[in-house]
Amino acid sequence: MLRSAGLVAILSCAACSTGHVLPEIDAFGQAVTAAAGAGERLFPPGQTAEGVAALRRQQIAAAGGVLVVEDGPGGLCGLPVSPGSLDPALPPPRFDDICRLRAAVAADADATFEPRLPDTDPAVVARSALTLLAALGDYAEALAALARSDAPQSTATALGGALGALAALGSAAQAGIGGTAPSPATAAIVSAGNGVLSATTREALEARRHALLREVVRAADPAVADAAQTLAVAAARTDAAARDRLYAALLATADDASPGDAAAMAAVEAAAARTRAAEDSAAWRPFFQIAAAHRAIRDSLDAPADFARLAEANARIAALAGSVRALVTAVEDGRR
Amino acid sequence: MMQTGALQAAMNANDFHFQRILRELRRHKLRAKFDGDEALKRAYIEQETLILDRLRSMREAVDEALLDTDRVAGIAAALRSGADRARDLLDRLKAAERALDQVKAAAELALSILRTVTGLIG
Repeated sequence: MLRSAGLVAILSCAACSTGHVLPEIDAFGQAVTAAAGAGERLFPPGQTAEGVAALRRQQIAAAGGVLVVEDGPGGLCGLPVSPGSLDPALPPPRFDDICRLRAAVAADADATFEPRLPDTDPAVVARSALTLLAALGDYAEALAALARSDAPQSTATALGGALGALAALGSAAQAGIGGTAPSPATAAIVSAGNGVLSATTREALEARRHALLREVVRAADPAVADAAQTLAVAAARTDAAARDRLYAALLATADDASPGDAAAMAAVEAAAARTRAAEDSAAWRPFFQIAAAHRAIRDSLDAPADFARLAEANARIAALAGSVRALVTAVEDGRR
Repeated sequence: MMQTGALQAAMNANDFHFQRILRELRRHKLRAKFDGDEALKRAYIEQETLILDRLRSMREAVDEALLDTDRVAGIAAALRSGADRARDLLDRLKAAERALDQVKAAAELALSILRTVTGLIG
């Protein structure tokens, strides 16, 4: 009786598999990766590195500082590396191992002077954005890899094979004891039991994967939200001035329109259309949507049986993917 | 430095406050336009521009706080930690074959069901 109750419990558990109710995290990962790629075009890395370096020089110069050449931890700076004096068992030093450049100012020449770069300088914003894009892309890829892992399926398949052998062994044992082959009904029930066990194991592993995903997504959600918003702010700065001008033009056109002037109304509508087009396709939107999609994934993972949340998560991911596609196209077309 | 959350809350409160003023200004501006009082309309436009400029600079202050280099470094570190955790968990999940306790439990269950079934029917 107890075993029958256990079988019922297993059957009911097998029916509540979590494997097929995961949000489309893989699509989320792809969208974030694509957004990161487009973002790199918005903030060209070469210009960024040179821009930050130039800004740093300006700041040091403004403080009356200089760059000091010093020895690095790997040797003396001032002579070329001489291979004859190196230990062949060790990697040879590179320039950065033996020479260091340090900024110094007169007030404390022995201390390293590190200027504080203005956070809103375009080069610094671009560097920040690239840092976040790399970290966000890395996270999204790792999350997607966890979500699409086939470990539960492959393990369950392997176990299914093992259980098949076990069932055959049980049938053979029964045939040996009773002296007759198992009846078709016995074979069918043994087969069903095997299927239940395979599903149970897969279920256990799927539930585990679900729990792991939930843990990762919950822990990372605040950082993803912060990253998405910061990236959106950085991206918004790339076209804020242009959008600002469009709004000013829209207000001015409307202010200048006299009552009863149909042509002026058309001009207002045209100005509104230009502003709407720029605002609704602004570069910051896809980055901002990353936070909403990730939060919806989190909520869906928290309530795996809630199909409304699953649908919400997938809708957010689809919206994100659509916006990212538009941004990628705009970047490729040179409109950004 | 003020926390970004507090800055955003202050910004939202300001937005709400200035929105009410702007709505009122624009209502009067429209009235002046219909009355044909160009000078009054221009005065309202000037006030409107001042308020928009003020709001713009306040929003830029919030953006600057969000773009703080130290804050960005903290977010990036948190994301990298999340990615490392996901990879670590994936490794553990892939090592599910080593989760012999689950497999063993399932196999034991298989045997017990098999025994029950064959005992009942055989």
